[in-house]
Amino acid sequence: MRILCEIDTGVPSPRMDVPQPMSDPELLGRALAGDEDAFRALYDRLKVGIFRYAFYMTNSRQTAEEVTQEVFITLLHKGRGYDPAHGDVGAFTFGIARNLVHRALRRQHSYLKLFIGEPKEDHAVSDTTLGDLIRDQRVADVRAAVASLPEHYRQVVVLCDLLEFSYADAAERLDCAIGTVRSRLSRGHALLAQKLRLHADREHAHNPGAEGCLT
Amino acid sequence: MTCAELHIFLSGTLTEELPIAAAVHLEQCAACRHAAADRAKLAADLRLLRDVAPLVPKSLDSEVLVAFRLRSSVPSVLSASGASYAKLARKRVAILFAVPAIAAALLIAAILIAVPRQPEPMQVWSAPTPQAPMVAHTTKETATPRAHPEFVAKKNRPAPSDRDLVARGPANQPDPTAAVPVSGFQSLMFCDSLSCPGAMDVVRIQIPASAVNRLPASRMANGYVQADVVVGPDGFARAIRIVH
Repeated sequence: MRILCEIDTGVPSPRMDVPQPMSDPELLGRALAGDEDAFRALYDRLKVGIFRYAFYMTNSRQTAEEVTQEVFITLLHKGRGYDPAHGDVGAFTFGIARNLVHRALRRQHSYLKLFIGEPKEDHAVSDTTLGDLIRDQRVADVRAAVASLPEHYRQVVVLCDLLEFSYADAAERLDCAIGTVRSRLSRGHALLAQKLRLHADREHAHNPGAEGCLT
Repeated sequence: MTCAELHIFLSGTLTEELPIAAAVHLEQCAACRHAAADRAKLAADLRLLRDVAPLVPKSLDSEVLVAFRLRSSVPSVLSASGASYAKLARKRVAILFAVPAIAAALLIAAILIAVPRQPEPMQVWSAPTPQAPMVAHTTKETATPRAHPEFVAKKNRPAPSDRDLVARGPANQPDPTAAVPVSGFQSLMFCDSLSCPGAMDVVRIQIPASAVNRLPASRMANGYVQADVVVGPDGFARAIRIVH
């Protein structure tokens, strides 16, 4: 209605001066120039995705924190090399995160060779109800199963299933075709389901009566 | 819906709600029912994982901000002018290497200016001939003055052997009172009491006449001329005299 009035009269009606949110490239440019507010805004937009991606990929909260911090420090160092023609700032940052996660996984892999077994994320059991304990155990099992997937399957499962990216966004961040994302996701789901089924069978074999007692 | 169509439907997507056609097929196909149940369970598990997604700790926020402040406080001028960190690092490395290099160059130049340059000893080469030995005689002489050296040779003393020249003891030091000046030598290098200490040896050698541009009268039959060379204890030639 207001727009129609503007068209009819030719005089714009007074509007409230609502600050428009800055785009990611603009925030990055200002952050590189030393604007802390711009950096905070950009960090707040990107940190959750980066942190969760690193966490699901490594199954380690500490490694995820290190990777996230390193991602933003690297972004400040390499941010001038950002080219909007090659994707948005999120994809650029995710590319940095992907490299750092890959490096962390290699370190983790070489570290794990020294020990037998896989690391398990420490979960603080604050809830005392039985349902919460069961849920926490299930979450830990699924996380471990995701973390045990091959890296290229794990990436698409984390991006599409856990971070809820679209296929197109996942393809842009992984620098591959959408069809590749689809096929990897299908294969990743099959592997993940197989791992969880085997894990459930193993648990059932070790403690056959527990499921009936708990439920 | 066939099994293949159902698998295509299930591939890549995780849903717990199936269309009616799929549900009808699942009632008839146990294998597909099993696969669909696995997928549905997986979808529930992944949704559970999403629901308990970890939060970014506050400590991480503060650490990243501290890193940002540290970074932005150092090269603000360079950032404003568009210079990158790589350029900054290169400049710092260049400065780190350039300053010691310049200092070393200045030090070497100062040393070269302060220390007098000494000429290389004369290289004497003569072709092997069946004549008399190149070294005709050897004697000892004392140090000489700097500009036009007046070499003095000892009188009433037999010429020492090579062994004496090598193992020269304090008792064999030349006696200044028994020395007589010997003239006709041309100085080959700067010589004073520090650079030409002690006794020296006089060695007679043959050198090509073309090397000293002598007259044919002084040239021997084989095209060489004879010369006396004063050699210091360090092996360097100090002066030379053409023997006519």
